[in-house]
Amino acid sequence: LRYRRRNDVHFAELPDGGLALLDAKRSVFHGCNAVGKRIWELLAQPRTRDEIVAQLKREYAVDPARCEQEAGDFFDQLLNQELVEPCDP
Amino acid sequence: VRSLTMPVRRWQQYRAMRRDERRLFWYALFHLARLRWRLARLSLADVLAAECLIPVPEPAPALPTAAPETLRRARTAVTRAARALPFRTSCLVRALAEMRVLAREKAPAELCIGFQRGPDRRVAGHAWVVQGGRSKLVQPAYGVAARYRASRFLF
Repeated sequence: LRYRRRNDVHFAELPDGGLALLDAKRSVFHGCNAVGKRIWELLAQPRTRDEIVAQLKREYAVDPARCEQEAGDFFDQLLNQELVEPCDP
Repeated sequence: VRSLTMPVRRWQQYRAMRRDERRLFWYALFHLARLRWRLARLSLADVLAAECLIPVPEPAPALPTAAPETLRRARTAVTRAARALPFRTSCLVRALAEMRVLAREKAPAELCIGFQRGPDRRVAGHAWVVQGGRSKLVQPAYGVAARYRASRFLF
């Protein structure tokens, strides 16, 4: 299943390279680091979870298992907070 | 002693206000109380929609600059009204009320919501009003996430 970021979620770059996400519908905001910001950038286009993990493995010199675990956890958080939505292929 | 003399000083301050300043003070007080109540019960998106605030399109046309006296009066009214209310008034409530007061004064402004990373690594949010490209305080450390302007229905 492909996902993309919700259009009505506002975001701002933080001075340390991270990202802040503002969900006005739920009146909450979230902060993430530079890798989270990269995942958010990738979600501008519809992508599957596996595509995102594969892209991160290519971009970052990191243990593949750890990358899969942490990127997967972050993606699950985005899903739980409804910051991303499934879209038609 | 200070807390005892404060109501007296506030009353003296109120008595010293001009008629138009008093009217603006009550207008700001009403909207601060109303917005506090609304934000406690509704989502931010619903409050923004109810306040006729719409996201600023990119690129955004520049807003006409209001007279400095108008801005000063609006900000003073909101600050004094916020002090008159019990408990702390959040920056978001103040900014929303300031948008209302400025709209009443026919001075279109922009509500900004921004974020920064605090020294404890936590993300902190802030809301402020920009009029004529200037805000009351310089906010260089905040990354702006959203900007809203009042739709023409408010004017």
